[in-house]
Amino acid sequence: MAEQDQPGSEVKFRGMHEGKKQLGELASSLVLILIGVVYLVQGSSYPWERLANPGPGFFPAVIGAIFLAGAAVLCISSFFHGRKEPANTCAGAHSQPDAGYRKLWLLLALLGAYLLTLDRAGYLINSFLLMLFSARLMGARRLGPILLLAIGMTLGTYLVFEVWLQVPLPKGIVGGG
Amino acid sequence: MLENLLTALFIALKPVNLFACFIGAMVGTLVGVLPGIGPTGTMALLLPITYGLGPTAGLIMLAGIWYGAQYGGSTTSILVNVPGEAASVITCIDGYQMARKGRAGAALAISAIGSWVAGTLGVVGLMLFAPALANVALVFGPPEYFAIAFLGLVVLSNLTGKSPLKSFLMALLGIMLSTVGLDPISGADRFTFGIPQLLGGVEFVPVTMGLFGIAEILSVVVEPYEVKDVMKVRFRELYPSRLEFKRSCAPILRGSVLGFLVGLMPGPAAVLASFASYGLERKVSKRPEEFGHGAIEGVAGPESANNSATSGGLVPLLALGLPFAPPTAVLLGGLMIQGVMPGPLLIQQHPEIFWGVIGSMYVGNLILLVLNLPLVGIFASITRVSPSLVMPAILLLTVVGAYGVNNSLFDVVVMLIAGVAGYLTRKLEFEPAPLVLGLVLGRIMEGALRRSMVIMDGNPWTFFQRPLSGILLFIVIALFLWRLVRIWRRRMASHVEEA
Repeated sequence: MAEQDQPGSEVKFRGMHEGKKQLGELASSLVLILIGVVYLVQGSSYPWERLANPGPGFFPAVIGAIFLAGAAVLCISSFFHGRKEPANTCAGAHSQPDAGYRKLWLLLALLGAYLLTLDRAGYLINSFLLMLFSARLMGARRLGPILLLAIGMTLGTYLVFEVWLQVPLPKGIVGGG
Repeated sequence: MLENLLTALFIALKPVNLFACFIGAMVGTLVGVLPGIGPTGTMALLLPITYGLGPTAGLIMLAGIWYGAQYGGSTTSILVNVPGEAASVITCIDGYQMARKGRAGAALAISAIGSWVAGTLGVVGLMLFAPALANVALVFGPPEYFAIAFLGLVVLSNLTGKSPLKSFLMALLGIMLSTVGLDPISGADRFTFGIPQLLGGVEFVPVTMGLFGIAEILSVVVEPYEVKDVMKVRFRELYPSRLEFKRSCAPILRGSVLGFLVGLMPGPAAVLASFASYGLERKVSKRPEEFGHGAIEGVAGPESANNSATSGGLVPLLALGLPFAPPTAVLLGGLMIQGVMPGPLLIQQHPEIFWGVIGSMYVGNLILLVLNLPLVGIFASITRVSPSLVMPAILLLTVVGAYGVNNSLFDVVVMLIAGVAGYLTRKLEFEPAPLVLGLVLGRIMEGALRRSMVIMDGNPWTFFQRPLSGILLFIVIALFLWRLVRIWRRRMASHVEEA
């Protein structure tokens, strides 16, 4: 019998899933507290002036204080209270989309490379390659539709933005439009 | 009123406006059909294209996408049991059951007819309400504007997502982002950390594209949606029976009124309207046992309500210049890019924009009714396109769209950061809509608050001495207290259970 089918494993997986959720809640509230602290500290460097004529520091101080208080409440709530998940989240606890997360990182790396090389390579070449690789990454297999997509979208967006809207897209190696 | 209506139609039927209306309605229908990116992300995506169209045609196109999506969302709900758009979730319940019984054509027809009736009645409401509210708003001062914007964000937080606290924190985060850049009153730079591109502030368009577009793409990359088989519907089946039509009339009218009123409120109006309508129809129905098994009222009411909600949602934007939902925030962005400031004076200073939108909504609803039914097979077949081809296309559009805002790669970087943040916040059940609203309303709120303090000579209690701002802020306080009471009662109940 596979481990996930053994008696009690459903409870175990539900517990693991809830534990991860609670950890995520706690981590997110700590990040929000950090954001609030940074915002308040930076905001306190701007002058308040006086209440009858508030300066640039007034509004950030008010908003920052409310935000920090709310984030603290969320943190305390996450720390002390576990979440009660409905039974059907057990299915999510069994399957970990690891392959999906790998694709996500690859896509982000692809986008990073696209941006870093855009000025040099130019919009046409970079966008064609972005279409090609991102379609393959997301599971497209047949070359015909992929090429059609890559060429169509690259040329289509070029015509709309560069030609019609006069948005100067990076020329790169290809040179003038 | 007749004169205004004729003016509206005259403006709407100008070739460029008609073209923009058609494109917006068709794109909106496509967006509604396809799971993934919704109308808000699409409107933000196409915002740069409005530069070339001008303010009237640009706004017409963007509005067309919004109400067009409500039509499209019902197609996949009925044929595939997958809502293409959040406001069509409820239509899956009875719409798909009707399809399983061989009544898909009737469901689609009633959905389209109901949407058209509701859309048309909603536009009538917009024509009546917006100018009246704009006249009243002429006497509003900065305290009233601050109070309305603050109440709007608080109500939105209460109605969006599973946790009002999380939604409120997202709204505050949006307001905090709105303070980045040059202070509009003193000119001091705030929170730029030495980055010159931030002097102009955080651009709304890349953030919205990131939160609604890139985040969705990342979600699909991690967990792709399945391409499902679509039921085929023949053209000759696209009509309801006499009994179905008779049973739909009252729900359509009720949905139209309810949807418009819900649309006036802050929040995800179309979604709330559809759910509220379903609940109402079930309550008043003589055959409540049919709901969930193919009751035509369960399609007619909600699909009407979500359409008229879009008209209701335009009232605060066009009359007050305040967006209470992400799509109207994008519309506000579209107007501001063109140098037009919505508000009580919009109807007087730019009547062609206001009446052009009104007229185009009449025309657009008609276009959607006439085209949606015969083309339902084509629209439905689009759902068979694999996400591995759809998502890269949307990816490139968002990248070039963000770049096109200021010809700046920095905006693309902002969009990607917002996209990653949007993906993470979704996983942790934080809603992105309040952040977008906070980013837009934050600037309005700060300006109103600081001007109010000057007017009131630094005495904040004066907010409560002015009738309207006092009432609105009192409602805000009451909402907070009500939430606290609910939490306390829930804790007491769980302590008693444990004991």
